[in-house]
Amino acid sequence: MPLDLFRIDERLLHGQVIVGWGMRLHLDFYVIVDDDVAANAWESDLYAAGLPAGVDADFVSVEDAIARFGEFDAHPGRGALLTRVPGPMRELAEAGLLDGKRVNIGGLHAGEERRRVLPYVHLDSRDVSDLEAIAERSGRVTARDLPAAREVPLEELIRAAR
Amino acid sequence: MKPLRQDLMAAWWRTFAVQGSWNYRTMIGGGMAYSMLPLLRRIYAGDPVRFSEAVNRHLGAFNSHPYLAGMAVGALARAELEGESPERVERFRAALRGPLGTVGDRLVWASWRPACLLVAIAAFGLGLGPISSMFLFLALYNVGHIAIRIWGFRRGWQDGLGVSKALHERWLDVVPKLLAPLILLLLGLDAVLLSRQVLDAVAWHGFFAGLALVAAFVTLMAFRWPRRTGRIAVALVLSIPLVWLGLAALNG
Repeated sequence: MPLDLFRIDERLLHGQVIVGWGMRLHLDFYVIVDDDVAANAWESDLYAAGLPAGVDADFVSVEDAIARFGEFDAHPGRGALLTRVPGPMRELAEAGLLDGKRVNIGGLHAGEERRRVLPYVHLDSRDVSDLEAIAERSGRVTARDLPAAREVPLEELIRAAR
Repeated sequence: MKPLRQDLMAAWWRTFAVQGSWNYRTMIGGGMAYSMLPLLRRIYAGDPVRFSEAVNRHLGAFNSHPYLAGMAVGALARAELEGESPERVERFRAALRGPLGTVGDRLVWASWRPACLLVAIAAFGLGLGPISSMFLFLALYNVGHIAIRIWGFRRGWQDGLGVSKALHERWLDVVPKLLAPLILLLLGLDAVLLSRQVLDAVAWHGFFAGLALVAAFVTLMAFRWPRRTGRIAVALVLSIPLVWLGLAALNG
């Protein structure tokens, strides 16, 4: 079954994702694309500790994610792919893997250079250019923290970030 | 320097106030730094620069189940003691947020609290007085609550970066699984016991019956127009047990 959710969220696996989206979409597995987390067992073990029984998580580097994308997409269960920041998602998009897919922005915290565009989304110029690049090679990019919240289109976020 | 027993006790005690400066930007960040102060002060004794850097690190956005915040306090302090790099500590903090929230929510909010509440309601339905039933709930609930806090803080301090071992312990999965059917059973039992009491109350007090009817009606409307009637319905539904307890107390 093709992956159901592509999400950019600094918190990676946390309550909003596991309960808010996971229960709603009946997700069986998560693919977390992050070079650092994939390289540190203590870190990936910790993220996986919050998962309910029967739900799996795979922590992979960007390179592995591109190589194994077909395998994730053909997984019999329902899955979501998460990245911490827009960068890795951009690499997936530029590898042509997100054609026609919707990309969800779920949470980017305040940072020194970042401007607040929504209570849960803060962007700097690099985030904006990454997100624009994702939009060019995917279906649609919107921000939405929870399934029931309003979907905010990327154009609106970028206008607020300028 | 390694924190002393009294520093650990002070930090554990402070975690009770971890939500005291809750806000949308850093959530329990302020409470985390406050709880860690006694430990950081000892770890960075004689090094005010690194001490203030450490305090700033722990002031940043953080969230977890409040009862498991102590596990984060212990684990992060252990990481600081072992001289982990600031980047690593930051990443560790970020990774701790998620599981401490979900594990705690599942264990406490979704299992332990409803189970204790339903036991107390059953006791009330079986004839225990309202005040005693309330204290029964508080006593039962807090035994578990304090035990979780002690366990969490200890394991965090023991395991440091390896704290995911503690979060993978079987009982964290087994307890919610065992309590789930028990909660349903108690819910059914309570419904029977309470409906008997409600019928009695209705028989001797028309006002209560009227309120219950209005509440039921508004609640049904709330499903159709949640924005307009949701709050009124919640207020009414919440007021019923209060009115009822009040009437029960009046009538001895």
